[in-house]
Amino acid sequence: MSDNSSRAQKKPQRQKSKPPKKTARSVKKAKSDTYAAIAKALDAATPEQLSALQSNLIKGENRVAGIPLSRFDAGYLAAQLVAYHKKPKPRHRPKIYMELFFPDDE
Amino acid sequence: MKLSLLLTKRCNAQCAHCATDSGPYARRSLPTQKVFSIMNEAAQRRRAGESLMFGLSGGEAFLDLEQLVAVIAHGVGLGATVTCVTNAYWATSDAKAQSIVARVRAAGLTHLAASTSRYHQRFVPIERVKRALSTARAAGINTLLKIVYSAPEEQEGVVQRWADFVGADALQAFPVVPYLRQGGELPLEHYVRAPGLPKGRCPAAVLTIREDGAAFNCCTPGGFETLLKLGNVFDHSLDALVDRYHFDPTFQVLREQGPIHFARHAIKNGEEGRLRSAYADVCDLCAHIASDPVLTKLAQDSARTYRRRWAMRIAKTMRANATLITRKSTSQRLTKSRGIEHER
Repeated sequence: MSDNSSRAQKKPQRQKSKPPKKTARSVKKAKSDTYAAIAKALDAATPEQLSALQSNLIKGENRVAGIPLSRFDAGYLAAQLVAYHKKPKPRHRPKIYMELFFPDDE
Repeated sequence: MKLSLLLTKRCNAQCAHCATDSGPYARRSLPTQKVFSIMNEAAQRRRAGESLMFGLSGGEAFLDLEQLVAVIAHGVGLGATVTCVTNAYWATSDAKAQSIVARVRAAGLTHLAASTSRYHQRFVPIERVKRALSTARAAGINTLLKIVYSAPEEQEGVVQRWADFVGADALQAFPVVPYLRQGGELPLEHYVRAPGLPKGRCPAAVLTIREDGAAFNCCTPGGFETLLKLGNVFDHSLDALVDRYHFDPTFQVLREQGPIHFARHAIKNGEEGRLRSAYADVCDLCAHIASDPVLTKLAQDSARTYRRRWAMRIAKTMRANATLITRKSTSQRLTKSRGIEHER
């Protein structure tokens, strides 16, 4: 009798600690929320924050605004940020420095 | 890394087309110690294998020869290439030109440019430009002749005549643009323009620090406006200014799309009337947008939208890649398990 009552007491506790069941829809929603949060963080970031993010990603700290990134995503984002430093050459004009003299070394 | 330093606003000439509004009554200069500290910060930022280049100009940087020599020597001491632009007023005689060129050469100057135009020639005869550059060439300095020309001069072939007369190693010729000294005005027929909106990305982005410490993304006439301003070296570190130079959305648009992106946004918003029907080049269009407060505001809004889309594109690609990876690993798992079953 006493065993049964203790079981009865324990049962609801076990149910409470059980994590919510993962459905395909909930996984998809979580993923979508994560990437929306990444987009929001990148959009709101100041130039200084983007620069710091780039250094952190290169160092291997794979996070954006606290959101953990996969190694693949971190590498992709780092490449996008590094691309900022590479000034594309103009297609139809040479470099012009009106007030200055910079011999074309690039 | 390239860094341009406009050391002073002081100039012996007062050219009508001067975009920095320099002249004999302008006194503002960057203190030498501040110039040194900026150069030191730039040298510290340099990554292994990256070249460092300081471009000096003004005003007329040769008016304070002691400062100029000290700045060149400091830059060269940091392992940088140092270049300078002058109007060559100082080349009054061969002996004078030789003594000044010897001083800057000894300090380590390797590249010298001299500017001329009909506006310069009211104050500095072209003979001095020829003397300055030929003396510099003889001393082993690379030389460049910079010519600003108007539409009538282009038609008369004046640019080539001046270039042949001076005989520099290289030539850069620019049409005069309507971003003149305060109160300055030139006849409309002086401007060289082609109809339509010029396509092309920003061809002259370089971190430029002016005599009052203001830092810009541009060194061309009309570029010293709020739209292209990064901050001030007296308020921000060079690191912060370089971060803005690289990551500010306005400059992202200019580097990736060019100023035509802003012009199209203005047209979409019914402000077509504020744009001209003809421009000299992309820099002229960019400077025109930067000189108009309404077009500037629209350009800033458009840059923010461009950044938002960039962020969304990155997140979307990440999501697509993640889905692809999940599918691949699932199919690999399935293939593996089928293989095991097959072996059984």
